[in-house]
Amino acid sequence: MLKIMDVHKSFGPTEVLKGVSINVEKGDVITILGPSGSGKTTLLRCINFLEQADRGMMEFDGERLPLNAVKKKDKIRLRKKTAFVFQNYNLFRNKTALENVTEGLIIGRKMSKAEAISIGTQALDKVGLQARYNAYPHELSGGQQQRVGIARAIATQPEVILFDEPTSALDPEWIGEVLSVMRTLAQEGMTMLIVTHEMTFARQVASRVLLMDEGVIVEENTPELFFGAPQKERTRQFLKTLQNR
Amino acid sequence: MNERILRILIESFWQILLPGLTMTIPLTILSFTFGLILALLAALVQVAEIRVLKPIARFYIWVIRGTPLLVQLFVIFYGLPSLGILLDAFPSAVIVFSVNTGAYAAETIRAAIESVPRGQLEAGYCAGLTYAQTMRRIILPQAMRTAFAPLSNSLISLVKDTSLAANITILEMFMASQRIAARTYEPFALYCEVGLIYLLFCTVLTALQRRLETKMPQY
Repeated sequence: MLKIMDVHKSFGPTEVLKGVSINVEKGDVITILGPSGSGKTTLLRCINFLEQADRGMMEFDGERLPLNAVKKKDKIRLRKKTAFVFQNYNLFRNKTALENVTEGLIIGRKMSKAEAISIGTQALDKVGLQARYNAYPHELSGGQQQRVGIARAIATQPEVILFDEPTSALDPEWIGEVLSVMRTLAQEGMTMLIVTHEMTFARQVASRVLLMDEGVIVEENTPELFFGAPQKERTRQFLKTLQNR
Repeated sequence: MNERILRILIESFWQILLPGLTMTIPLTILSFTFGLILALLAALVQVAEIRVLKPIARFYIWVIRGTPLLVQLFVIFYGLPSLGILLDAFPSAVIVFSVNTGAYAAETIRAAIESVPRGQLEAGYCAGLTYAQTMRRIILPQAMRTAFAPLSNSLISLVKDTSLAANITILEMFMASQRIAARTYEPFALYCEVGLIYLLFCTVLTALQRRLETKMPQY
């Protein structure tokens, strides 16, 4: 469904992505692990054109295009097939929870207000926020804000949701509720590409686990093999440092 | 205070307030409205990095902020006629005050827009919104909340700056007080009185600002 081929990206003299390829099929739940600065977030942002890659190709539903020369119109069109969940939520601060969800439907997709509200309330119900439709982001806890972020993502019925460390900015007490929403989505067959540090979640929910380090994908494996019998020395080393925490 | 001065002050109060209501206030409202429109345009072309317009906006702000308001009034009202462009005093004043307020307010609005976290724009993109849609519906409402207090400053400054229009034959509050002072030989009393009326105007605006600020949403 979505293929990314040989992505390169530098910030100034620092090469952050050194030829990353990734193949996402419908229903895949792919978790990307790796130390800080390994390029995980940049990879997600290149897929969504929040960063422009220096090199690389994308193939999305059979449509091929070079990642370093995407037209503005194509960016807007292709972004509507994906959704993005940010580490720090990035909810629209001047909009209520419900408006955060409906904004992309009414304005971005020209849906009628009534239809958008019906979809928006369903999405918020699904993430357990049926009582907070009219709350502004600053009135919500971190976990609630991130669940609005997920509701905003699923409301547009994207083909794939990109999660950029969705629990990293949360207090420990809120992490569980966000992960549980993501777990439900995975079980329902949602295609997800998740950058995370949650090992247990990756092991239990992912269909595939990737390790990124220094701008390349070191290992790509099933969760059983990745955590049980990793192929690469770097993976073993990475898992070991985490165990020692 | 002797009785004569008191009588002059009471009689002149209305004679000064009237041009305040018919000239100072309309001049302020018109200039501030046009100024805000100019400011918004000048701020937006800068933030959106629009190729030719951005340097034009920078140049406009540079020139207007770098020259005295009084000089700007003189150039438009007394200078332009020698180039064959004759403007009446009132339109001259509206043009100069609008353009002047616009330059300062443009910087206020630009800074306010830039204070909105970049993630808001990215979230807009990811929700399928265009740059313009995100700017209008997400970023500007947040920026205007931030810009409100400094823009109120600009408005209050403008009220007082309109007194400079007396220099280009506009009969506003200050000129009214000048005339009465010349007639009665009581400059001290009259200029204090006109100052107090300006203070009164600005006090109303300050109170209004307070009220609106508490009513505004806090993000």
